[in-house]
Amino acid sequence: MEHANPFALIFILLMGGVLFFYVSQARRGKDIYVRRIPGIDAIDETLGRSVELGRPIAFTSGLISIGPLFYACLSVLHYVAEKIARFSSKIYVPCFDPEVLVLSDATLQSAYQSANRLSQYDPTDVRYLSNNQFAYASGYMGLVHRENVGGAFLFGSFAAESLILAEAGQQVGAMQVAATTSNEQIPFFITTCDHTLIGEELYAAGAYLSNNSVQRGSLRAQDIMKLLLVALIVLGTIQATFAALSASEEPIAALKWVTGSWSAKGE
Amino acid sequence: MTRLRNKLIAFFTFIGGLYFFLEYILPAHIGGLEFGKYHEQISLAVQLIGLMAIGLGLINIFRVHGVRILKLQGGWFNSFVLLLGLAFVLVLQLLDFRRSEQRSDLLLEVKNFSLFVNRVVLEYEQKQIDYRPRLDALIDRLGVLKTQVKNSSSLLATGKQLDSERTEAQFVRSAEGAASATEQLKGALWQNNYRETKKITLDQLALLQSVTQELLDLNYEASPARRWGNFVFNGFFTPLGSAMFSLLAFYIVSAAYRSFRFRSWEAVVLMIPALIVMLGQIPHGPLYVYSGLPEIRRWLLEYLNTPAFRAIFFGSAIAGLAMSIRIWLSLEKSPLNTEETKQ
Repeated sequence: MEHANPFALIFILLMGGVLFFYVSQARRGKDIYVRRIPGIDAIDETLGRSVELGRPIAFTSGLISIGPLFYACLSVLHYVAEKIARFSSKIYVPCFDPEVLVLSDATLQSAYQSANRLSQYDPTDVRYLSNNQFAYASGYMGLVHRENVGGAFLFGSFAAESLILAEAGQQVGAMQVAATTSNEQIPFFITTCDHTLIGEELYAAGAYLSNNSVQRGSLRAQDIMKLLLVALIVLGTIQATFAALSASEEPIAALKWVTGSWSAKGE
Repeated sequence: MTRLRNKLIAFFTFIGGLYFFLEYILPAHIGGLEFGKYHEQISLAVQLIGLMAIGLGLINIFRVHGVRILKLQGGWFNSFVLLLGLAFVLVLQLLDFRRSEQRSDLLLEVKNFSLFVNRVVLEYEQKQIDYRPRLDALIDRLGVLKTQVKNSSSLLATGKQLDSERTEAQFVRSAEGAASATEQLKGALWQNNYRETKKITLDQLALLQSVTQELLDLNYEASPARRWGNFVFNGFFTPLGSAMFSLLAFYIVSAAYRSFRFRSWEAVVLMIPALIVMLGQIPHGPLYVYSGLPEIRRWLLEYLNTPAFRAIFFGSAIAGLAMSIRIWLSLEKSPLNTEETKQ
C-alpha cells in the first residue's frame, strides 16, 4: 500500500492552510484578480455562435472518471448548460463512464433548474456511449455529424481518441474549445480546436465563470504553492549541482528530505 | 428534504475523504494499530457503489435508442442494430457465466476428493468412524463422472477434437485409476497397513484433478457461448476499434497541414522544431540532411519539451490537490446541488 512521507503530509497541510487563508480573505470581500484567459472567454462566444446558427452543442469529458478533474469539468458544464437552457437551445453530453453519466445528468438538471427551464430538460441529452475508447470515439463522431453541432466543448481527460473527437467537430464546422490536463493530447487540440485551455487553466475555468469567492481564493493559494514548489526545485537544483561538483556519493539533503519515509526502515 | 440530502452528501464526503486521507498520510503501523487493515475491503465497497451505475448506463441506452425506434426517428435502424447487438452480447455473456460457474463447481468437487480421503482416513484413525460406505460413495461418484464425460457430446463439436478425445480418454483412465486406488485403500485400511496406498490414492486423485482442469478448459473453450463470444469480440469489436484507431493517421496529417502553414511567426516557431524532430526521427534525415539531427532532436525533446510538460503537470497536480480539498470539505457550491443554485 502506498503511504505518504512526512514531506507529503507537510505539503498537504500547508496547502490546506494557504487555501483556507485565501478563501477566507476572498469571502471577506477582498478582490482577487484572475487574469483573462482567451479560451474561457471563447466559451460564451461558442455558445452565442451555436445559438445564432440554431445548432446544438456537444460537451464531452473524454475518458474521464470520477475525480477532482471531473468536478472541475462539471462546473463548466453547469455554466454552459444553464446558458443553453436560457437560450432554449440544445446540449448533448456523451459519456464514457456510467458514473460520469449519473453526475453529468444531475448537473444538467441542476443547470436547467437554475435557469428556470426545468420543463425543457431532456434526460436523453446525456448519453452513455461506451466505456471502450474507440467505440466511444466512434459514437461521439456519429453524434456530432448526425446532430450537426455548432459548438463543441472538450473538457476533461483524453487519450489517443482526442484527435478523432476534435476532427469530428472540425468536419462539421463547429467552433471548439478544448481543455485538458493530458499533456500528450494538448498539441492535437491546439492544432484542431479554436481555443485550448492547458493544464490547470481547466481548473481555473470554474472560478472564472462562476466568479465564486472560494474558487478565486483557491486559485491564489495554488499560485502560492506553485511558487513554493519552484523554490524547492531551485534549491534542489543548486544542491544537486554542488553535489555533482564535489563528486559526493551521499544523497543530497533536499532530496533526502523530500523522499524520506516515516521510519528509517522505509515503512 | 433537499437540504437534508445535501447535508448528508457533505457528511459522507467528509467521512470518506477523512478515511482515505488518514490512510494515505499515516504510516502503515502506528504502535500496534494497523490503520489500513481493511483498506482493500473498503476500496472494493467504493468500487461496488460505482458499479451500480452500469445499470443506469444500460437504462440510458435503452431510453435513448428505444424512443428513437418507437418513434421511427432518423437513424432508428442503427439504434435497432445497437440494441440487438447489446441483447445478443448480454445473452452470450450470461450463458458464458453459467458455463464457467458449472466448470468451477465440478473442479471444486474434484479438488475436494483428496480432502475427503484425508478426512475419512483421519476420522477412522481418531474416532473409528467406518470408512467403507464413505469410500464406496467416492468410488460411485468417480464412476458417475466417468460415465458423464464418456456420454458428453459437446466436446466433439470442437475444432480441437483430437485434443478433446485425448483428454477425455485421459480423464476416463484417471477416474478408473482413482477408483481402483480407492478400492485398494479400503483393503489396506482393513489390514491396517495403508500409508503407501493412501499416498498412491492421493496421487491418483491429484492426477485426476489436473486432467479435469484440462478437460474443462477445452470444454469451456468449445462451448457455443464462448465461441460466439470470441467471434463477436475478435471478429467485430477488435477490427472496428482498430479501424477507428487507424483514422488517426489521416487526421494527424490533416491537423499537421493546418498547423504548419506559415500563417504567423508562432506557426514558424512551431514548425522548425517539429521539422527537426521529424527529420531526426526518420532514417532519411540523418542520412541525407545532417548526421547531427538525432542529437538535436533528443536535445529538443529532453531540454525543451520535457520541462514544459513537467510545468503543466505541476500546475495540474496542485490545482487537483486544491480541488480535492475543496470537495472534501464541501467548501464551494456544488454544480450538482440544486438547492444552492439561484432560482
